[in-house]
Amino acid sequence: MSVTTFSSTQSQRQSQGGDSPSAAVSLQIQKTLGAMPLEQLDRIFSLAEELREEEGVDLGPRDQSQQERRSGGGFDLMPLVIDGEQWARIEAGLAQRVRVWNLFLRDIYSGQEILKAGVVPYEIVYADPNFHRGCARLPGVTANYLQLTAFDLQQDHRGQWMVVEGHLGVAEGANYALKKRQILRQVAPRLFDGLEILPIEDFAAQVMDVLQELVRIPDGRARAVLLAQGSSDDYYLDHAALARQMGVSIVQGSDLVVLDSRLYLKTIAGVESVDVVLRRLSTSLLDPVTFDPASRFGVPGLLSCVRKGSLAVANGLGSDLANNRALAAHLPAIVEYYSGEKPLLQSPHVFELRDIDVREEVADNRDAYVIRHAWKRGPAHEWAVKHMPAHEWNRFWQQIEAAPSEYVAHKIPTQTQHPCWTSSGSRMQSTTLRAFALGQDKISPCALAWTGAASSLATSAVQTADRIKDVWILRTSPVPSVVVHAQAEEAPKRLRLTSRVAESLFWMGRYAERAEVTTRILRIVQMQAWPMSDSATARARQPLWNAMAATSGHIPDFFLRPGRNPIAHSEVPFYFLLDRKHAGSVLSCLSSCRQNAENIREHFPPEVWSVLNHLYLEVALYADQTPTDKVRMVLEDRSLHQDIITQLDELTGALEKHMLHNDAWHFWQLGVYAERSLMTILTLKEVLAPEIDGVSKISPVSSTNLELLLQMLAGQYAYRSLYHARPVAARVARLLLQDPEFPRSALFCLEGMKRALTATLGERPIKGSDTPLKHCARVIMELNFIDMATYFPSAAESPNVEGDDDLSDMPTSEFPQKLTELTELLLDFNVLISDHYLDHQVVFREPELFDHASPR
Amino acid sequence: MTFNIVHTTAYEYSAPAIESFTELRVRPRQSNRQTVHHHVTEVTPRAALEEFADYYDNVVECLSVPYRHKCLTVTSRSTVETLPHKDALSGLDLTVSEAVRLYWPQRRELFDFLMPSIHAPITPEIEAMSKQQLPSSGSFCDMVKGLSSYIYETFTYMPGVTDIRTPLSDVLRKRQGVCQDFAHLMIALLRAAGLPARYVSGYIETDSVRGGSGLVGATASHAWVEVYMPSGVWVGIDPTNDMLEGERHVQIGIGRDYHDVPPLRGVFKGAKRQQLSVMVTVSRTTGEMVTD
Repeated sequence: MSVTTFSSTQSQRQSQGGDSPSAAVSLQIQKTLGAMPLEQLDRIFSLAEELREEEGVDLGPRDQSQQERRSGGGFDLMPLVIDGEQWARIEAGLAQRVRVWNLFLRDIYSGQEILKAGVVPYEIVYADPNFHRGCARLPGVTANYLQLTAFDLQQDHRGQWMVVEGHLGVAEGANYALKKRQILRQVAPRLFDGLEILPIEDFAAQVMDVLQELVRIPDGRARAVLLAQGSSDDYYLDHAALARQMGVSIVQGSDLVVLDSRLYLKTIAGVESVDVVLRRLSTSLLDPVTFDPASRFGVPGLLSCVRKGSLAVANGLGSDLANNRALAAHLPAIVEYYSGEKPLLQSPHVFELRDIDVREEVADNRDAYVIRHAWKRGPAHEWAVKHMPAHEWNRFWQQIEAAPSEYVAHKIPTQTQHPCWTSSGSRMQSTTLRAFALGQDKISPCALAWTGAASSLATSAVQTADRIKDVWILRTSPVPSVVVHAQAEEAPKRLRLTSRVAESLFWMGRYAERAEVTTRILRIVQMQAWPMSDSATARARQPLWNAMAATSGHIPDFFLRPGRNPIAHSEVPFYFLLDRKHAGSVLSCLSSCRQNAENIREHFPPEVWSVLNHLYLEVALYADQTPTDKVRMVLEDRSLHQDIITQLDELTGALEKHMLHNDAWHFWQLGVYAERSLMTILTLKEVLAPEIDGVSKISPVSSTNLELLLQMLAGQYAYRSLYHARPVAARVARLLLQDPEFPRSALFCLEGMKRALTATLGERPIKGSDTPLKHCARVIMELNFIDMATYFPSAAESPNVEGDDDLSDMPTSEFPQKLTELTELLLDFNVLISDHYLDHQVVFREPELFDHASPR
Repeated sequence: MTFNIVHTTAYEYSAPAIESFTELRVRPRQSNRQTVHHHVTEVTPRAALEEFADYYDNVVECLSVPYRHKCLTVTSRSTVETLPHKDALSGLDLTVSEAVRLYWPQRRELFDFLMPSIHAPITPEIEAMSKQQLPSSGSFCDMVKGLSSYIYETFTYMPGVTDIRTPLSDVLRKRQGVCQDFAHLMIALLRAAGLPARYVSGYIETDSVRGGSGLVGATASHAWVEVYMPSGVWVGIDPTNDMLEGERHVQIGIGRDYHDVPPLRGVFKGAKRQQLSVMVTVSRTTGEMVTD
């Protein structure tokens, strides 16, 4: 790591005025940094990296490689410093814009007076797909459209802050600012010495305040959720952090359901009504019935709640329209129309390409312009045409000529440069500032800045994580202290787990457990004689192969059907461990487990993710290469099996140790136990009491098979501790079904499920329906009442043995029936758990539902 | 004429569905051409209906069925009296380009019906066809009527060949389709010429009372076109039957195209497949006869 010291170029005055307080502070920081020994700077940078990784997340969008991020120069120590006075001007200018846009949206979605007056060309509004006709005249939305908005600003060459872009629909990124400040304070506290900087830590609480103001609930607080797209979103971590700090659930469309024009959140404790949604999705994605039918992220019927006034959405439905860049061309007229004022902050001139003269001017001098789509956002919709090859330009121009009103152009700006100080050195860079407005008149000092190359177009997206800068707004005295209403007096509220998250955890538990059982069984079975070969041993071991098949989703005699059996003996280990096409393979299970985990990353600690991810990647690596000798070897000598089992133990350990033992934890446990009890009974049945096509195929069980059965289910140690003798069928059955202390016994698992169910919810009696807990108690009773003596009747021929030893080594034909019965009882859990905690079908019932007034 | 209309839509799911939410646009609209004497919408399984007027003042009813259900049946029953229409197209002596000019003062209000829309895109193919069929020097009335006849003669009514996802370009190639395809085509051609056109969803009486001229369209709901007259009224034209909208047409709603007025649009979870069946009957209640 090399750090160059500032040369004389860095000490040049900033063009915003060298005498301003901000310039002085900026210089002071540069001096402090410049005076630090290189080793100290190195330490600072590596600590910053560490902290960032510790978060388990990176700042900024995630879809870039580590290397790409590093090449951005790493952590930037220089904040963007803004004077109090300058900030006050920005505040006033942005507040004016929010007020005006709010009036504009109200007008557009009601009388459209501004269009009738001809102040704004109606074509811009009517042609924009973000003008949602379904949002017109919504009674629920009366006064306030804009609760949380953001504006991107750049300083022109004279030092004037210009608004280059507005985010009136969804405003993202504030939490990157919080994280950046946090890390900077930790790694370089000295930089803050003696400075009065406006605090930013109460951002989330203030957002909450604005939402509460939007929905006034008499004698209470409005229930809010943050609705986001999910982990596939670039800003997902920003959303998750904001939700956490606000103390609300981050939810996806499928977490919510509409009933009688009221919105409900599905949690494991039932459905909870929701009063306000802070949306992180554009309006068009919010309701597939009214807007884009292809949207997978919305809530069908959400609009009907807004229409009924039972739900408020922030920002108001349809407000995305105000992002239109062609509309921005008419901002001065819009400001004048609604407020009689002039814009307090300027914006770069917008060249509307629907005007033929403008179009020609831009085409003739294209080097000087950036062309942008009028309503589509993101780097894919901004074109610096300067370096575009002629043929590409011609094609692009045709595209514009076909729909010129969809495009605007801006002159490439000359910006003020700001100093940066990263591990690769220090340099001057152009900087974009994103400021957030809360409600109609408050601009948050929690602002975000990022740097880019001088020619950067990066106005609409934070493009490189490492380029994020902290923003320091200097306090001008006297500043009234900030009053936070929302959460000051409240104890942290524990949120109930949403059903979707619970479901993911449940399945994570099940998949992880299935991966383990499959590996364990395979480890034993693959060493046994191939059941298709014609030998006495092979025939004797058939039940074990059947167990392998039955526990991995095949028919039990999968290996025994000549001609229909798709795999050869040598392919067995690959098929069960590494075959992606086989849904029951260990790799498939791990992949599903990881997929579920990825969707709910914020619900468990990074330690857990790292173990799971590592395990999956390692196994996947074996699967995805062409089988080499090494792969064949680890499959044959079973070292991969051992490795997987060890790492799964590590996963369980990490969960046990690092997770809060909360609802989430209990749902994981529920999944593990549900799967394990099922696997134990299925295995036991195939070895002791097999049925083929419903016909019982019981025969005496050899002690070798019993021995192997115990090994398959990790029960050797348990058995030996209890009996100190060679295995006997009845005792093995008792151990696997009824032992209260053996962790793989059905009874132990059911007791575990009971504990988990009791801990999360306790009994929630619902008239006329079985509950999971009741069901659990019933299965436990069934298990306890099994008397092995009736299923393994005493064999008269061996009168000399004592106790269980006189029991038959062959169960009666009632035994397989009993096990089938138990299996069915266990499978019933799936529906019960889903009906009670996930889909809530026990709440939604046809007859009662509409006979009463709506639940609220 | 007075009609009793029964419109039944049934969804049968391959597996139980949950959390379904549905918007219905099946209530005939009140207008000076038709009076709705009675309307009721019945839904099985039971669900409360919420009612509102959309951007184009169509009546929408929506319902949610959150619990498990195997099928969803919606039956809309209406009694509607239609009034004789005057032939608003005749006696207007101006050219297409004169008409286009006359729209200018109202261009803002008409803009939605001048712009291309999802199902009625204005492609180069459509533009070329429009120039041919609607030359700007041609007589407005003759050209509009002629366009309806052109579609009627050139395209074959053939159910099952297209569905709502079939793009207009496919319809043009196949020369086959159903009422909504012909409506969308006509709308696109009219708009390409600068004439405001909108989509009408509704019903048509297919069999005349005593044999005779059976009209096409009523196995399901019908669709046709309205074109805006420079005189300030919307006039309905049915290219599927090559006729002006008459007493035997009953309007449900209007929009830019099908997307704005689907009889039923819904979302559900659970089942992978669904079987849709639609049945419409339009029967006359009094013995009024078409005299000519």
